[in-house]
Amino acid sequence: MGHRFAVVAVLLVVAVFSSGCPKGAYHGAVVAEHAFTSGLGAFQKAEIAEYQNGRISVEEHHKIEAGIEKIGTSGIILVNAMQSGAANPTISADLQLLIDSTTALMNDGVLGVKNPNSQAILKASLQTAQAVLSNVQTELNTATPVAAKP
Amino acid sequence: MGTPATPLTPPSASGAVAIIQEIAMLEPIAFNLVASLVRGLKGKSDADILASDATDLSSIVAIAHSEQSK
Repeated sequence: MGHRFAVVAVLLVVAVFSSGCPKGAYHGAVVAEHAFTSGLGAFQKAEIAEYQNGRISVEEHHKIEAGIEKIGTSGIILVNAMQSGAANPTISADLQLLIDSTTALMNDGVLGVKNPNSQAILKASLQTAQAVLSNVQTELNTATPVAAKP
Repeated sequence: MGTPATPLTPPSASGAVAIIQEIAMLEPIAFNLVASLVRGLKGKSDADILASDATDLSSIVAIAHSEQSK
């Protein structure tokens, strides 16, 4: 897990310094959230491929996709809060919901996959997404609040 | 007296190169992810990124919903 955190940290540093985009108060959190969304999409593609190749049962597939749906919905709530410039505690609460949904998917879906190779692939992919989320949390904790406009 | 803490080794250029090589060799998914991230972020404002992510997440939710009926 430590190795994966190092990898994700390097990814985010490269992404932030390569992006060249205008920096807002939550810029680091936005970049990390974007990495999470990309990671979730990659996880879903990997899961569907495992299912289509017959390595995951229909029950396992349904359970995991239900978990992905909850995570995606929590992600939309977080993104909407960031788009509207919500206060940091609101965004942190939305992020916590997202973290909880991801933990639930790991415990109730991924760790229940019977095929060991499929489980290893999905576990590694979801752990990457979890590591990215902890970066979002770190970025939010260090974000400088925007001064209120008159 | 407790066990003395292990001293942290400062990062070096060779260490950074080793990590990047390790990513390329052992983490092809992560390596592809960073390439995709850089492409996706280049020249975009935070608002652009969030708008694009909202669309992507909606698509992920729609696919997940559809997959549960298969």
